[in-house]
Amino acid sequence: MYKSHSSIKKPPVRGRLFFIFFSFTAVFLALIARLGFLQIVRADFYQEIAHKNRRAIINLEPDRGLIYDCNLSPLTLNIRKDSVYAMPNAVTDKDETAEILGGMFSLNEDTLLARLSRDAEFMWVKRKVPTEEAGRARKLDLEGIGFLKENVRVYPNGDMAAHLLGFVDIDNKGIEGLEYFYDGDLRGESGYRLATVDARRRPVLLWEEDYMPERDGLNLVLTIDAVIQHIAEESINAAYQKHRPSNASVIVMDPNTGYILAIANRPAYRPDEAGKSAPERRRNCAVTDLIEPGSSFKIVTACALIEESLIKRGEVLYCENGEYNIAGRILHDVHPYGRLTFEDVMSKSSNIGVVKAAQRLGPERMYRYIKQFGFGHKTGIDLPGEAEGIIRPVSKWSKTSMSALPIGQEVAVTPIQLACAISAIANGGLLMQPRVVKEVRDKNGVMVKEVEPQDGNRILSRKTCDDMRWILRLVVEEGTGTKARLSRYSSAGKTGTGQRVEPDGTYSHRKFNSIFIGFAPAYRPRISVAVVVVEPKGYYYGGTVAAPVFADIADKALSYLGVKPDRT
Amino acid sequence: MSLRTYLTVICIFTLISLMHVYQRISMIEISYRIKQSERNLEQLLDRNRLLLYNVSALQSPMSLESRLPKIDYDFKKPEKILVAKSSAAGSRNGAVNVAERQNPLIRRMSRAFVLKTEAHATEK
Repeated sequence: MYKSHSSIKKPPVRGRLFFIFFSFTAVFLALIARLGFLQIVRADFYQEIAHKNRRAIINLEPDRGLIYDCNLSPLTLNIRKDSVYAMPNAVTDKDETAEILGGMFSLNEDTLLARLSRDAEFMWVKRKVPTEEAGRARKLDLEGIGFLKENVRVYPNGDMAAHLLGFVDIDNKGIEGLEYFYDGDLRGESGYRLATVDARRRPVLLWEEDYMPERDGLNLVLTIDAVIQHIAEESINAAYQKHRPSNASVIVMDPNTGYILAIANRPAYRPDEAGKSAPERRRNCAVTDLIEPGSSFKIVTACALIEESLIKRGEVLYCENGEYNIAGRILHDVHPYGRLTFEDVMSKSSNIGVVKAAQRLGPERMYRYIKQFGFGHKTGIDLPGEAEGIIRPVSKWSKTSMSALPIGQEVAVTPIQLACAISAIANGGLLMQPRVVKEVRDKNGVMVKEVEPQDGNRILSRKTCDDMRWILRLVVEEGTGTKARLSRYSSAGKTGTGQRVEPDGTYSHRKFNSIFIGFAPAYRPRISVAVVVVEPKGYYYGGTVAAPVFADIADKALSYLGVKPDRT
Repeated sequence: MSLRTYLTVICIFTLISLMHVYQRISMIEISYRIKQSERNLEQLLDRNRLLLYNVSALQSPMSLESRLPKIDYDFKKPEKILVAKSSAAGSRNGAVNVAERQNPLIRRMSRAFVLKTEAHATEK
């Protein structure tokens, strides 16, 4: 017998349906709630992560401005080299990577491994590596290692004009010389691109959000002539090799404009390897170093006497046969002289003759002329580190100062100040401000700034300069500066042999400065030259050590400039 | 709405969507190509900078001076000054007019073809 349907118990359908519906609704609501939490409550957080993943700020490095000589030959250039970087968080095999890169770039593997192990997004492995090394590293295709092109400053003329140009650091910031002085103009301004990148971190132009173009640095056109600079470098180098001094400087200047045509120092260094040279080699001695000028300073005394009409042409002075007691100090001449005309006093460089004549000036006038010639304050040349020089005020002079200052003792000057002083005589009495930069141009060659030669400050009359010209010619023709005689041009100048000061404050009898300052041609000067050789070994007279350097430079430079010879 | 109309609308909508997507992808591909061209340009500029550096180094006075002695040239330092004057006027101050030494016929013919300026050579 079958049971009737009404006796079989079935589970309620509505209950099951309700249970399923409730379950799905609960899950659905949970998902909605989670979605709402992520997209509304934590929206900013996840948006930030998404932006970081998709956005990239690409720095646009500007080209550093170039430096040219007066004929637009480049003295500096920029090239690009690869810099190797690592993303430590993306490097999986840190040990192997450190081993490979350490061996390839000569880096300490342990240090590199420690740096790769840090929790960092970015680190430099090595910057500005040679092209061959970068090529080999690229081929390895190491995970987490990337390459970036960076600008590198190069100097195609080697160590020529190194002290003038200076150098830059790893970030292309000027550290010395013109690279430092004009860093603001040369540096330019960085730009950027705010780009959106794809999954492979490639920027997509279509999605670029913002763009600020970089501004390349401005170019400098110097007053320097590369050929004259080379002539000066070769000459001073020859003297440096021959006399083995502590250092040596030469300055070649256009006396009529104040434009510097060449500045050379020894010892030298290569600006693109500046870090490998000692700091003392990198000093621009021509503007930073102080020296006692010795007899070369007699030009100031002579100019003052002639300008004040305190000495007549042909006037005879008695030089005490080489030994003279003045204010308790015994003054000596190199050779004993008796009676000499003032012109011969200068050409033979008699200390006694000059000091005797200088007494007519008195301290106040002596001091005034020293200051008028620009000693005791900066010339204003556009190079860093210029020294002022030392000249004590009259109130601090001793009773022997008037027997010392007229012959270049108790005063400290820089070679550039000596160059400016002799230039003032050469150009007829105007003290010019020396300049190294003539023009500033943009990368298209359009002039942005021009440095015109400034009107010089008149310190002497033309008549005084004419008289001095004749006296200084005698120095070269018959006096202590015969080695400054040129074969095809007339020249004029003054020798100097300054005693160095020992640490105990006394004058040395073993260490000297050899100096020659002069100009050529004598009657229409185109160049003035100051040569300073510090502590030469062996010979030390200015006429023996420095004068030949002047002759060599002047002869070649005037030929190069196409100056018509005035000497038959 | 009949099925045909419905399908037509769907097809048109699909085509428009596909065209839009294709356009976007093309734009991105073009931007990749532009970026690649920029990279190529940078490489060429890098090469140019290196060449410029090499040229400047070769042209530097130091480099020239070291290489010139190896070249056999016959330069001499001038011992006298030679001045060549060029003037439209005839000979003056006793200077010799080289042109007048020529055959008169040749001189007349050359006048038809050359400028009137004549060269004077004097020795000082």
